Amino acid sequence: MDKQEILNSIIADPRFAKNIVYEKIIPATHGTYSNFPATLPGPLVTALRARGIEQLYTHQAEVWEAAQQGNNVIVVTPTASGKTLSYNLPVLSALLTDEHARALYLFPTKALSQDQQSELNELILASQGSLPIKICTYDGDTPESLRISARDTGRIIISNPDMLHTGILPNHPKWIKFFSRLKYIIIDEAHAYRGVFGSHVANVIRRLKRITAFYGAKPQFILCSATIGNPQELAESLIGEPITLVDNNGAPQSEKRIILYNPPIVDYVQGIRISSINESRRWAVALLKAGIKTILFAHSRVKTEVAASYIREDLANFYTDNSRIRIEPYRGGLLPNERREIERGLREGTIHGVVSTNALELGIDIGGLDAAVVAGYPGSFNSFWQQIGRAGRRGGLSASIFVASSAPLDQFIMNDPEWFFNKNHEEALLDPDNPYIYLDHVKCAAFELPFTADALSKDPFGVNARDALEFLEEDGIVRLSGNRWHWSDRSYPAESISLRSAASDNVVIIDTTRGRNTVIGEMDRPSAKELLFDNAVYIHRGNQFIVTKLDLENHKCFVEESETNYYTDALVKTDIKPLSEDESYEYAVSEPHSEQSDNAAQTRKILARAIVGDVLVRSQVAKYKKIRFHTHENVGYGDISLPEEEVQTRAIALLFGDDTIAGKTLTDLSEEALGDLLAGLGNLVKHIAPIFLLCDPRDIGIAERVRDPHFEVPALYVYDHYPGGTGLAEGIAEKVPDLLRSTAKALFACPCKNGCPSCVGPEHDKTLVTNFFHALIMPSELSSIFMQ
Amino acid sequence: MSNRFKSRLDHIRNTSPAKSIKNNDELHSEPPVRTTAIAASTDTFKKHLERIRTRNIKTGRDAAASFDTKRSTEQIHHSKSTSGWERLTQFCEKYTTQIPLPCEFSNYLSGDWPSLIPHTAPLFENQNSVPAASLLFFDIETTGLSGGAGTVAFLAAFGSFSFDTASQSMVFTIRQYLLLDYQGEQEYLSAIRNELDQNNLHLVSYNGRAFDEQILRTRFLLNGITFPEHAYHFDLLYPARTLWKHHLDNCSQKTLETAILGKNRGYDLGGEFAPYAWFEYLRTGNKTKLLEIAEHNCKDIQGLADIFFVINAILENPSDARWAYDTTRLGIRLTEETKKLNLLKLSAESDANAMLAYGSECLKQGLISEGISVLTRLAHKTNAPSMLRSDAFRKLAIHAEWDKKNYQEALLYTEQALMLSFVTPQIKAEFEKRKARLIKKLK
Repeated sequence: MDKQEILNSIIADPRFAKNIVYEKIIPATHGTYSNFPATLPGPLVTALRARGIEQLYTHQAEVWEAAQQGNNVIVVTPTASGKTLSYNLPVLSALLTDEHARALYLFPTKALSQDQQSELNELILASQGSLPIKICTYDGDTPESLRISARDTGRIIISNPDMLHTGILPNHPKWIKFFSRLKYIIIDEAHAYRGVFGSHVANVIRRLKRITAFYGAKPQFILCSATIGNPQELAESLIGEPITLVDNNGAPQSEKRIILYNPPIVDYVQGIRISSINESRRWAVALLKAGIKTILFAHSRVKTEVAASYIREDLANFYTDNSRIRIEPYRGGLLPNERREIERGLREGTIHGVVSTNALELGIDIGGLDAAVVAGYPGSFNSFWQQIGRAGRRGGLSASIFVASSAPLDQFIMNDPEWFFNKNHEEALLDPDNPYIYLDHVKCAAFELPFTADALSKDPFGVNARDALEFLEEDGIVRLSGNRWHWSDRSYPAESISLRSAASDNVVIIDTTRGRNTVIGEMDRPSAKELLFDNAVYIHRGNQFIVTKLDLENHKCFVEESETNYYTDALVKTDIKPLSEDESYEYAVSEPHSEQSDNAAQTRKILARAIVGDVLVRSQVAKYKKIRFHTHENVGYGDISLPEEEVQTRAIALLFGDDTIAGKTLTDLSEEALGDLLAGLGNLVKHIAPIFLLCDPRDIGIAERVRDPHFEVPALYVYDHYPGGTGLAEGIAEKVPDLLRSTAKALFACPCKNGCPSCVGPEHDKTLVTNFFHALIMPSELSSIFMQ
Repeated sequence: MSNRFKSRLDHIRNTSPAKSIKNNDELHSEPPVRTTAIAASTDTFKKHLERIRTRNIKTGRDAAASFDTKRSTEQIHHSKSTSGWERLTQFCEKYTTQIPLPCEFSNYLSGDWPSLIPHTAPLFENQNSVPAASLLFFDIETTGLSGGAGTVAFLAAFGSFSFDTASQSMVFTIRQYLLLDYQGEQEYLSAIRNELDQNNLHLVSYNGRAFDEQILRTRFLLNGITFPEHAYHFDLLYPARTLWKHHLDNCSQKTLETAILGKNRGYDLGGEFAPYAWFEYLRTGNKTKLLEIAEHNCKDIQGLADIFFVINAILENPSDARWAYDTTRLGIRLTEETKKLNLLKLSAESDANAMLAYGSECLKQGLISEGISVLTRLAHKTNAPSMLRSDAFRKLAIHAEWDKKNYQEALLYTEQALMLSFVTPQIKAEFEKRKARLIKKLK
């Protein structure tokens, strides 16, 4: 039986068959190939042949061609389609032709850089000395002793935007040899640079371009991205230059089978189904037993460990004497060498299955697997496609099983699979000109090189830099001297500006069982509070520990081995406290009295009010649940006494008091209906606001209040996830009527019957929200919205 | 790019919600009415900047924002140069002063400097005697303490010895260069370059290899001036650590001056205030603090020369009891045989580490019986660390096996070493190997 037949038999198995809702088959495609370009240097051809590569895929050849013409390129093709080679070829060729030329590779995470270095090294080893190119990783983990040689002699430097921002650019004179001969800048996983993070990175790239220009270099960019709705637009905003899009995948694709599976209902009254973790585990076990290499995506670290343990138990019973099937959990918080060991095991085939959080969604090389099981909707469509992209090797099987949870969103997809498969890829938006972010990077840029007043039009920061510099000059942070703005503050600005919202302060996990004193893992502070509180059950690669003490002050967590029949799950409570009311807005509409007197008397009516100000977003883990393994019943609670995680940021509170048009429509609603309406509205705003703000949905938070304790009216908060705020709340304030109009449009245009993930969310009442907008918007406009 | 920005700004500016809606004349809404605070501005970008300022002040993000931001350009540009300071160019001043010679001054350097600063060995090999007049002492004050491309060296001091024909004696002259504003940096650096660009000149600094020299290199590079290379740089931080790390809490220049030289600077504005002093001058034209920093900078050179010649004196006569320092560490590093042996012998009286070094050195220099006796004493010294004792046994065993060819004796040492407790498995394994070999040889 080949794997295809095995899969067929599993699908036909009555234990699965009756709950399969839908099967989508994406037919196989043949590869399209292209001969090695005549301009490809001989040593490269030799190295490729040594690795068994005789031809290029057409997209690789297209990238080569565009790069040779001096263009910037973005290549968008699926996982495992030879993306890496498409940029390595032009880079290695340039480095061979010019012995001084250099290249910079940027990856969003350190884990990915490690991976890339080993892949490049393989290619260079395969050349047996004909590619004498030194590759160096330069990031926070690079020991001081290796840094000088990396700077001076590294031909390819592999790094990340954070290191570029705080370490490399502010010290560019040490990098003179590198920057003056910089030929290529490679940005892999470009889709990761969206929203506020992307806006920061776009500004780091502006700074990079200033520095290379100073040293007389004009590097070319090659970007890679997973499939998104707007790759070219994203790339152009990111690098601030035109770019050529290459998205015709030339790599062969095996047939892809995507199965939507809805677990059986156990409680008809409440509509509760068997947990997606249990059902996913059944799938994974069936597939693994049949010799199909499988990855299971669970969406939290705890679930990842729990699922991996379950699968191990199941397999252990069956295969006591048989050749072992090895399965590992993979998640954040493992030690780097543990992660690498698992990656290697997967590549080399010694590990047959893996349970992972979205950590394996990004391009870490784990070779090809046959099947992907996705336990519950991962939150975004792009994520889903990247996860199932892990399944499928050339000419082999590619099966993906989406196991729904009881959540309304998952159930919506199960009820309307066509909607799911016809949905467009999400767009990745960013705003390099966000004044908050822009200003931060103008400071860093002034530190790196003074701004020349007459040459701003040629500066990557553009003429707008004048406003920003004059502003900074007023505060004495820069000084205009001799027609140039110089940094004139004693600080090192990059140090206090973080590209990411979460501070990366870590807790190490120490195993103290029987006098041991071994570091077994590491975890960021907010996650530690949720997973490593005192008495928490911590599962590490299947081994159970109990937390004896979480010492946040010293960044340590002590654990001891312990066998319990339950695991723990912390309950996180988030609340918002307004700290200041800095700006208040009224949004008014004017209605003509009648058609005759349209220019004279108009009644001004307040649509809604809004307050922009500082808020404190507090999240606290105050309690945890003890959950029995297998039955998942709740066997008790415990208290957690940890300080709250506090972030001070900016928010806009949309206020619907009963003296506003919006508020009036709410007065007759029951509290429950009002809550439902606001939640539905919040869901819509979460989707629509990022388009206005050029940010990512993950950059904003939404909270609804039936009766806000501070403002004492129904309210909808939209807050910025970045500490201190990045102007998103202010951005909304300027555009509330536009936002409401677009929101109404999206709602009215949505073909769903009663709420779907694209509008109010499947759990909310669409009619309520629709009625709300009907009351807000003039009938004449309504008709026009319907017409469109 | 700039077009995009502009169009966006214009978009924000022109299409306040009202306007965009008017085009679309179904919804008649008015622009939002702002009812409080922040002055209305037509320029959205600037308005955002104002908001950011408010936020920064509230959260204390930019300390500078709370300073008095008034500045008096006139005062700076037309102020007369301060007394004693000579105006070199519009934005650069120079101050020259002579100070007394360091107390341990000598006209020529000790030939043992390479023991402490190995890279200077060729200098002393090529030259019979290195004159003190070939040294250039230097120190800079900067606008920031963390380095990086945005840190400017606004003050630099150089000190050197020369023969004064009038007084027929050596004198120590300090020359300081002060930058008065960014735009004068080019000329200011040219003046500094003249100091550095002389043949046969050797730099002396305190932590200058990692800090001062790097900052100057960056400034030269950014201004397109080549940095004159020097083959030898006596950075005293490293020798100071060798000599005093175990004696002092820290090895800062100030600590050395107090503890070793017994000198008290009196009132001294620390270098950490340098950035404030310069920025205050830029803002207000008031030079008071800046001159205090200049004085500090001058004292740094003076202290640097003092420390240099104390170390020089120690190298000349290591057993001189006037100086409390780590004799063992110097003894281990010294290359001159007699000095080394004498110093180690002295230290060995009180320090087990020195016993090991002294015993080994004795064997090396052919003082066999003295060496064996010291090493044997150490090997059996029960209150000495096991590591040292096993090292002593190793030396003894090696000597017995290879020099004396007395395998029986070597085996005895080896077995004794194996009986020591608290030695690492690696060392145990090494002795086991030796033991096996010796047994084979004995057969």
